[in-house]
Parts: sequence; structure tokens; C-alpha cells
Amino acid sequence: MNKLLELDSVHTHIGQFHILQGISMVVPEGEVTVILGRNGAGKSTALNTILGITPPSRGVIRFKGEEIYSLPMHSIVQRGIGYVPEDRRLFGTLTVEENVRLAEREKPSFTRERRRLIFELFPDLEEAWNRPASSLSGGQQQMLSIARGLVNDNRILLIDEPSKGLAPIIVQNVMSALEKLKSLTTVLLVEQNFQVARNVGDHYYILDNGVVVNQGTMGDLVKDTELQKKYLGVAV
Amino acid sequence: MSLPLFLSLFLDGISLAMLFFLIAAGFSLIFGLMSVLNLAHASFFLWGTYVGREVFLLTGSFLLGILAAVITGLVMGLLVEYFTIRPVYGKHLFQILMTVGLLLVFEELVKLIWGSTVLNFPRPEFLAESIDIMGRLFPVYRLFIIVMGVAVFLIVYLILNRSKIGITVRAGVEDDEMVQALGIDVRKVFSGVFALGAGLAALGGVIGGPFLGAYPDIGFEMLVPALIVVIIGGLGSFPGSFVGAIIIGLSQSFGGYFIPEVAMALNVSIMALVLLIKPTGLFGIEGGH
Repeated sequence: MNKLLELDSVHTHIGQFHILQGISMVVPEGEVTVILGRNGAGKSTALNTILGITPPSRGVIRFKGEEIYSLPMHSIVQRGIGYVPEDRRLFGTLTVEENVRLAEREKPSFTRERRRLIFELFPDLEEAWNRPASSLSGGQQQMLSIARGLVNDNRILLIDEPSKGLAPIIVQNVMSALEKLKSLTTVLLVEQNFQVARNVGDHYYILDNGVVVNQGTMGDLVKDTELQKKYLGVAV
Repeated sequence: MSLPLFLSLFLDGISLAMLFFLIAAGFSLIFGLMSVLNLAHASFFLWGTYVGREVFLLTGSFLLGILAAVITGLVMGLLVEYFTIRPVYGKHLFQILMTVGLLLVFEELVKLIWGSTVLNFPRPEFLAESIDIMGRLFPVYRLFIIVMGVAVFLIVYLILNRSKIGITVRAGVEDDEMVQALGIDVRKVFSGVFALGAGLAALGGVIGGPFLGAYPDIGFEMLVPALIVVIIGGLGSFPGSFVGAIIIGLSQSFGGYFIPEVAMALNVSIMALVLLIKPTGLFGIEGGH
């Protein structure tokens, strides 16, 4: 197993709150690792900590073997980490094209190729190319948010709750997009919707109160209904 | 009101508006992008006036005067941002104290070097004439200010809307953290915008000099209408600064002619009215800084 991203005893404080309390994780290359857990478990903070939005107060984060936890956010991202935030965080006054262009860092030939791929995955975006991002529907906004993470040759995509707030039919679209992403890049996915997680995930970590309480392969978790009930609130 | 008088007041108002715009545009972008309330911004206008005048008088070239003023603004902007603003990012009270202090220091330095009296800033010879507009003489120099203001607006507007750096600035006004999360070093963008804003204000200072004269309070006097312009146009909006400046320039010109006692009150009333109808200003972004 090639360890692409590693968190080693990572602690994160936000103000006086001790959110992550010594979590350790390994994200293998080429697979989808899902962080599960209830609201407030520290899932989004884990992604924010990797990116440097809320830097760790203790512990080590390695990406491709390099320690990245003390770097500024833009330097961490430039090493090949794409980010799809929980609430999309699109630039509403910018057009779809401008949102994508802003994220692009690669050579024009790569960019052209990636734009073609994005249009294949999300045909809606091609139609809305010159419209302000704020005029898109919730599902289209999520597609644009994922597209921003895809425009570069990122080694890993950190995706935060892509199904949140979307209608079930749109969740299906997002899920099929995530499945296609698996062949392109490694994914670290935060997801509360267990149905989404079980369909796309290879490995999982369950967080509870800032601590990793369980981990393993998704196949094992799917079989373990007790664990699902205990930590994920899944009705069995 | 006769048509020639109307035209004369209109052109006066627009030329004043262009000076307001040049000082307000940078102020607005700096606040919108960096959430920095830079009251020292007026100092760049002030120093643009004096340095531009000095170089113009020394060399006889108005173009060199403009160039020297803009370079002064850019350098001052870079130094002020690096040494005094960076330590107080996100601390509005400290920013106000720091930048008011800087404004006073820069003003005192001007007094120390050039004295406190009003200095004559002659118009360049090729712009010294007046033209007849429907029987009223109108200085060509004021038309030059209008042309310069519109040209700067168009150039910066194109940069903001067509180039990647422009897109970055507009995105940064909305959500600078997300810009960083896309791998962009937002600090460098901050410094660039700060310097650009200071350069524009200094440009306003040098081209406004032959119109307004050179005196140490000129920066502070321009600051108040510029603040009103920024609020009317919407913090962080470049086109908003342009439109806001035209509104206040015309209000100042027509108000100053017909109701001079309450001309400033008219400006403030317009600002209050805009805020009542649209609290973010005419072009302000909901949820921006």
C-alpha cells in the first residue's frame, strides 16, 4: 500500500476547543477513503487541518512523505491537493468559466484536456459556462465545486460532504461523478450520508468527539450493522 | 438654468468625479479584498500632488511628473502595507489608529519639506488653454482629467475582468480564504492591490494638482468625499467607485453652485438614501468583507 497522505497523532484546537484529539490516519494512493461520524465529530476539521485552514497544534501530517503541516495553505495545495468544501464556497459573482479558470494551475494543454473531461462528467457546466455561479442550482454548484478540484493534476481530492443539502436525485448524480473520479485520483471524502459512503468508499475511519474510534475496509463496515447503529445512527 | 451653464457645471462635476474616483477606487478595493480600513490612503493622493509638482517644475515635463507621482504611490503603498498594515490585519481598531497616525505623519512630512502654504501647481502648457462651449469658456485641463479618469477606469476594469489576476482580486473580495485553498498566494495579491490602489490615488493627486492646488490638507479634504463615494458604490466594487464618484462629483458641482451652504449635507444625504435602499451600496456584494 502506497501511503499518499498520513496524519500522525494530530491535535487541532479552534479557540479554546480541542477538536481533534490525536487522530492518526493513512490514505492509500488510488483509493477512496471516507471519514464518517456524526455532526460535530471533527470530520470537516480534519480536512481543514490537512489544508492548513486550521493548522494542527500538535502532530505530523505527511503528503507523499513530505511534512506539510507547517506550510502556508497555498503551498500545501500547490503540492497537488484539491479541495471541494462543504458549502461549495463558489465565487458567486464570477462566471462558471472564471471559477474554473481561477483554480487552474497546469499548462494550457493539460487544462484543455481537463476542461473536456469536466464537460463530459458535468454537461450542465458547459451550458452554464458564461453564467454567474450564483445563478446555478444546488446540484450544479456542487458539480462546479468538484470541477474546480479536478482542473489540476491533483494527487488527492479532499471532498467535504458533497451530498449535503441536495435532493436525492441530485445525490445520485454526485455519487456517479464520485465513482468516475476514482479512476482519476485518490479521494479523501467526508460524508454523513452512509449510502453515498458505502457506494464509493474503499476504506473508512469513524470519528467521534475528535478521536478515531474505528477503521477498516468499507466491505467490513457494510456488514457490521451494530457499528453503523452505534456511531453513524444508521437505521437497520 | 441655461444649457451652457448646465454643461459647464456638468463637466466640472465629472472632472471632480474623476479625482474622487482615482482616490476611492483603491480605497474600496483594499477594503473589499483585505478588509483593511486604510485612512492613510489620502496620503498617497497628497504625496502624488507634491512629488508630481516637484518633478514637473524641475524637468518641465508633466509626463515625468505623472510618472514620478505614480511610482511614489506604488512604493509608498508597498512599504506601508509591508511594515504597518501586515501586523494589524483583521484588527480594525488598530488599523484606524495606525492609518490615521500615518496620515498625520505623511502630512507633517509634506509641511516639513514644502511648507504649509498653498503652492501653485501650474498647468502644463499644452493643456493651459480653454475652449468655448456654447459661449462659456471651459479649461481644456479639466477635459484632460476626465479623459484620464475614464481611461484609467477602462484599463483597470479590463484587467479586473479579463485577466487571471483580475479574477483573483474579484474572487478575493468575496472569499480570500477560498482563493488560498485554490493554491494562490493571497498575500502577494494583497500587496499588489495595495500598491495599485496607492498608485491610482497618487495619479489622482498629480493630475488634480493643477485643478485644486498643492497644500498639506488636500489629502484629508479628499478623504471624506472619497469615503462617501466608496460607501455609495459598495465596498470592494471597482465599477461602484466609478458610479459613486460621478454621483458625488455632480452633486458637489451642482450643489456647490445652487446651494453652497449645504453642498456637503447633500452628499451625505445621498449616501444615507442609498444605504436605506441598498445597505451594501449600489454595487456592493452581499456577504463580502
